[in-house]
Amino acid sequence: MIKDAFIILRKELKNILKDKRTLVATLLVPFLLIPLLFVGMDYMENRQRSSAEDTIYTINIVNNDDPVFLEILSEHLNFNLVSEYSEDELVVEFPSGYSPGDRAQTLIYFNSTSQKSSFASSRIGNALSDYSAYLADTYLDDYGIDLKSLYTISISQVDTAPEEAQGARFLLIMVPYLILIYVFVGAMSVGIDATAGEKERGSLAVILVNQVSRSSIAIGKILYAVTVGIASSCMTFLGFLLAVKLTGGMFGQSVTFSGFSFMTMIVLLITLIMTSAIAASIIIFLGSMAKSVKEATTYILPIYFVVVILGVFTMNMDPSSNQLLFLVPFLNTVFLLKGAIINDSTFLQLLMLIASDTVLIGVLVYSTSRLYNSEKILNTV
Amino acid sequence: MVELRNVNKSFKTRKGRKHVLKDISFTAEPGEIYGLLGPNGAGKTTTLRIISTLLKADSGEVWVDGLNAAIEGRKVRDKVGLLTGDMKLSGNLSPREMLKFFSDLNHIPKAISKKRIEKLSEYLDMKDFLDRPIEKLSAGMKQKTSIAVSIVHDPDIIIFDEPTSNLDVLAVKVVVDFLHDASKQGKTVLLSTHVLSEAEKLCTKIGIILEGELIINGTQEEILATYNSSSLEDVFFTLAKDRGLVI
Repeated sequence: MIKDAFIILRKELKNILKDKRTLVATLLVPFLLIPLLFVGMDYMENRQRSSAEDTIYTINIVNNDDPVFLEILSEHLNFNLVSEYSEDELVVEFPSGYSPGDRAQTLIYFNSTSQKSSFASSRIGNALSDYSAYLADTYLDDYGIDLKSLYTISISQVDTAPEEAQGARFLLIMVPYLILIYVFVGAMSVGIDATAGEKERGSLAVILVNQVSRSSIAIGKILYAVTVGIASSCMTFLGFLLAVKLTGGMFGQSVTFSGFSFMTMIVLLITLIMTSAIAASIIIFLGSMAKSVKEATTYILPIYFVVVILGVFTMNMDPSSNQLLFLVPFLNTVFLLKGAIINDSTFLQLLMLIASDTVLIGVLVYSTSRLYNSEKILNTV
Repeated sequence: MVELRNVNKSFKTRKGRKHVLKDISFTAEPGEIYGLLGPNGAGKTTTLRIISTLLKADSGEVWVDGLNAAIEGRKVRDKVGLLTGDMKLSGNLSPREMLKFFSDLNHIPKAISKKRIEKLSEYLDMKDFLDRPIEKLSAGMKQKTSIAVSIVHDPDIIIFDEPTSNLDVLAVKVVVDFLHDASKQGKTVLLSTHVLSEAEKLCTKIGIILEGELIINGTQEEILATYNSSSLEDVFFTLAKDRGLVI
């Protein structure tokens, strides 16, 4: 049966390897899209930050003309002083009759919809803190007290995570999500084309009239979607590595791969294969039930959205210690990948994933084979 | 030879079971082109699908070259070559690769398959485009490829379901020429069509099927004599009118 399934697989792969557009969409786009996206976002963020830093802001300071505050403020921000009030400008308002050293509630007026205004507001806040410290220091100096001597506790943070897991926080967030999404995306277009697309082209009936069992045809199509799903998610992962290499980290977080041991890669590979097989089995089963590509898309998209939502919900979750979750398909993918990235996955968890995923894959393969062996597969042709 | 004996078939619908074939019986001998005529939804495709083992009859018997289609499906499939009119070959594979794929599906040994592909490509005049992507072929070339695909395992029974629908005149000629040749070679040809003129030119035997019932079964001469008519078209419309199918 498997030998016959490989006939189907070989033909489909041969077809896709000659189809430049599908190859680009399935393999090259995932590889290039993430680096482009991340490098682009990194560039835009840096550009906006330097633009905000280089801007000369117009600030109206009300009820305080202390030159020391202006000097401190100039260390934080480039600005021009204006005396007229305007809604567009930044305003720092001290209480009426304020003189340096008074206890004062200071107001900063800024526009939260403007990134530059928000940036300036934050810098003004820092300047006010420094100004407050300066005034306190001056006041205490009269009593022979050094302000720094009043800080009795100094704080340093020590990361207790294993050395190889440090810097992997961003990977914990992104890798499971991306793999989950691209396993589905990669298998979806080819899976729908190999099932509902085949019906639309009218070639399914001809393929069914031959010496190969229908179960082999169903398994061959699933193998094909699994192969493309794995290839697509591998390219996504490689794209992700490239993005990290190009940007040196993501959104201010350093990213390291020192935790990627040989065992991590094995767990990643097994998880990838199992998840691809589930996604492909779902797609082939639903695609085979549909009369047309349009109908197949309608069936599959809700499942895809559930997977996306699952990926988003678990993004910021830590690897779970609840072993039962490793029996839930897709959820076990997320948690096992998270565990593997920080070298915290166990053999039992891997076994649970393999066992539960195999059961679901088995049910889907059996259902698809039954569908191919029944007349229902043709009712829609 | 193909023989149907009192074949019945029904499908489950929202309104209950729909009886689509009612006691269909006919025989198609080697060297004959048997044409199943009828309007859309009459039961032609269902009949051909039962013969090619894609569907199972609720009752009755289907015999293909002495094999019971309900019991020996795989052996029957080895004898049958199916082509449907709505089959649209596409993709980046070449006709040679497509023929190799269908040879593999039919478990034909490599050496035989290679010879068979060569022979078929020569017979259907496909040599010039045998290695070109199917996507870039003309309608006629695609039709020749479809025919080759359906007979790559050298079947004795050739079943063509609406093979000329949506084809231009040149592509229709490819089909018609092939069917003539196949019957001369002693193959049993079953053809479904709603194009009456095509059936008149091609078929040695005709079955007119209306609302799942085989109303007429015989040679063209027998049918025309029975209804005292000069054309199949007149006979067909008379029968359809009797059943209230013509407005």
